[in-house]
Amino acid sequence: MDHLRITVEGKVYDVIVEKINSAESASPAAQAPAVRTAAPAARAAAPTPAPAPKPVAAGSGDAASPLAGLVQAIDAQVGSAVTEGDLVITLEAMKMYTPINAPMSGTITAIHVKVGDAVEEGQILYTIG
Amino acid sequence: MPIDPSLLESLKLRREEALIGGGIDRIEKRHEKGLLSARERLSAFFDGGHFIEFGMHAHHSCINFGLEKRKMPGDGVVCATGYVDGRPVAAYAQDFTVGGGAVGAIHAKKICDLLDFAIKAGMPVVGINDSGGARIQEGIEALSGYGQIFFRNVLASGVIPQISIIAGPCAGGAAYSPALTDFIIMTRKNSNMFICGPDVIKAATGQTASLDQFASADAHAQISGNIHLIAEDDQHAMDLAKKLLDYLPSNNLGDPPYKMNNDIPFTEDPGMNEIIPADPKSPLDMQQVICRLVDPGTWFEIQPDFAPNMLTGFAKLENLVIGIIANQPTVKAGCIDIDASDKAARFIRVCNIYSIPILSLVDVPGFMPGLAQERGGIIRHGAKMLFAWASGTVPKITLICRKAYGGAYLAMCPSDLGADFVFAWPTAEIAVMGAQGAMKVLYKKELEEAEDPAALEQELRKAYSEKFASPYQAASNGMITDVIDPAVSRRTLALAFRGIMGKSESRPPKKHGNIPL
Repeated sequence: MDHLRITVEGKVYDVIVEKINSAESASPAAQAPAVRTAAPAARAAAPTPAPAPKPVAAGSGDAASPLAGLVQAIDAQVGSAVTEGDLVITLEAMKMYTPINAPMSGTITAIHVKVGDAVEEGQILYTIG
Repeated sequence: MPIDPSLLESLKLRREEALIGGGIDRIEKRHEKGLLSARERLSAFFDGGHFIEFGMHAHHSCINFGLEKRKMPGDGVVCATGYVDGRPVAAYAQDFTVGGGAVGAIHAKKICDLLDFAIKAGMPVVGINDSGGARIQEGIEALSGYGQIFFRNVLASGVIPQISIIAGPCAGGAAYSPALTDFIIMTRKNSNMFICGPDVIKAATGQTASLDQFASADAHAQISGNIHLIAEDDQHAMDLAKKLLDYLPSNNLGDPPYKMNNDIPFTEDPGMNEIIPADPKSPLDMQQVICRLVDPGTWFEIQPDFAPNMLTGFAKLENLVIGIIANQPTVKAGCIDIDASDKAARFIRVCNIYSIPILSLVDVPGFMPGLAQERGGIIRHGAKMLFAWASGTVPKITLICRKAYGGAYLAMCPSDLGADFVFAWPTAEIAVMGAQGAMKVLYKKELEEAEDPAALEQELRKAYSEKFASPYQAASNGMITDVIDPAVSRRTLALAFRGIMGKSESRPPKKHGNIPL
């Protein structure tokens, strides 16, 4: 990882750049794309949360929180067998309970939160294997 | 003296040549893929499979790049009028078997002529898009053709219903004609719609993206919100277009096709009370409420996959066509976010254009809080709903089921925004904000100075909730028409809609308002 300071249109951004392909970044030809990716990275450093993953991306067994809230109840545990649509976690947000039902049938391999936790939009709450 | 038989023979040959478009082989290949040809699509759409074709003998006039030697029957598009449920409708279908359905000057002229005809005759237009894009050999003539189609789409907007079906490729500038129409139906397979394809995206930004991620029916239905309905295949797409027409008038001067029932049965539906959870924090499933309210099987949801925290769609209530805007508390607590605002505002305006009375079902805790929402312009987007309600002059009836908090309630059409009737269930909570937030504003000092702040807060919160977590404060101020037993909702709404159908309301003359886009 490299810590870079980049100036874009007079604005200074501190960014951390990770070289994913070291062979490519070593060649001078790859310099231009490397700089280009740095600029959007700087923007991302501004406090813009990534948009929540939408159902299209689903298919993996990760159940993401559709909105920010508090974990109100967890009705299953690691190892529980669930059917698509089963209630696994209930969030409380905006004076309402929001059920986080199983996106697919399977076995719960991980629960990443506990009752009382504050969760962000898009945060993975549990995983079905 | 009888007609010269060779003239009839020549006509027959010319018609046969035009009718097979790009040839039997290409049509067979489409059939293997489960696709219909352009004329088969129109046959599937019109009553009895019959239609009157416009410009069957049209041919391109291009002499560039050897195109003068290529035959293009109909110039790659079939334009027609026919009947749907006995009402005249215009439709065109791009013919992918003829030069990839590419748009040239004559192709565009045929579509423009059909649009002009439909505007003049006051009939809906359905456009079936299946085209490789602009016919490059014709250069800016093709580009100009798109421009002329867009111009007519805009002239027709708000006059005649325009429905687009995407049943093949629809890329680049071509995507903007459907975007200017009222409804877009897209087939789940064999179709895509985008401005810049994967190669251009890669070259310009370095991002790797597949068509599935941004150009497919699913992507547009769920994420971009560009389309309204997904069809499983060509036939289903035609059926959906026909179903839409069943809820729409032929033009903005007519009424939707309905026959009002003579009698409204004064029955009760105790089942409605069964589905309302006792705990105000448990979500009410608004889909169930709608299905109990409207005539069985008539709830036709529009954009069901986009922003599902807001429901929009058509239905019939004692045979009267209505539009429904409803919060859905089972998704994102029913909060109004940017996408929900855009979806609802657009639907309200569609209803207003086509004289469709609107029912607003309210159970909303507020606008969606969050940095992304604020930075994304929830103020500008939420304002669209306010604008759409206030500028709408069709009958508007609001039923407050449960939560109706703050600005989000205003965005669901209270009497202040022009609702003609506002009904509330006894479970309604109408307040400027929730009890928890209100305590911090109203009693900040008292709570800071209290010996036992928790006990005091609980006491104050109880008093606040008793006052505002009910419909009676609003009812006492004359803000709502009546508080009703949920069991009588259907008959109450049916009677109220019947009573307000003669509504006539105008707005100050102007070119157009400035809806915050």
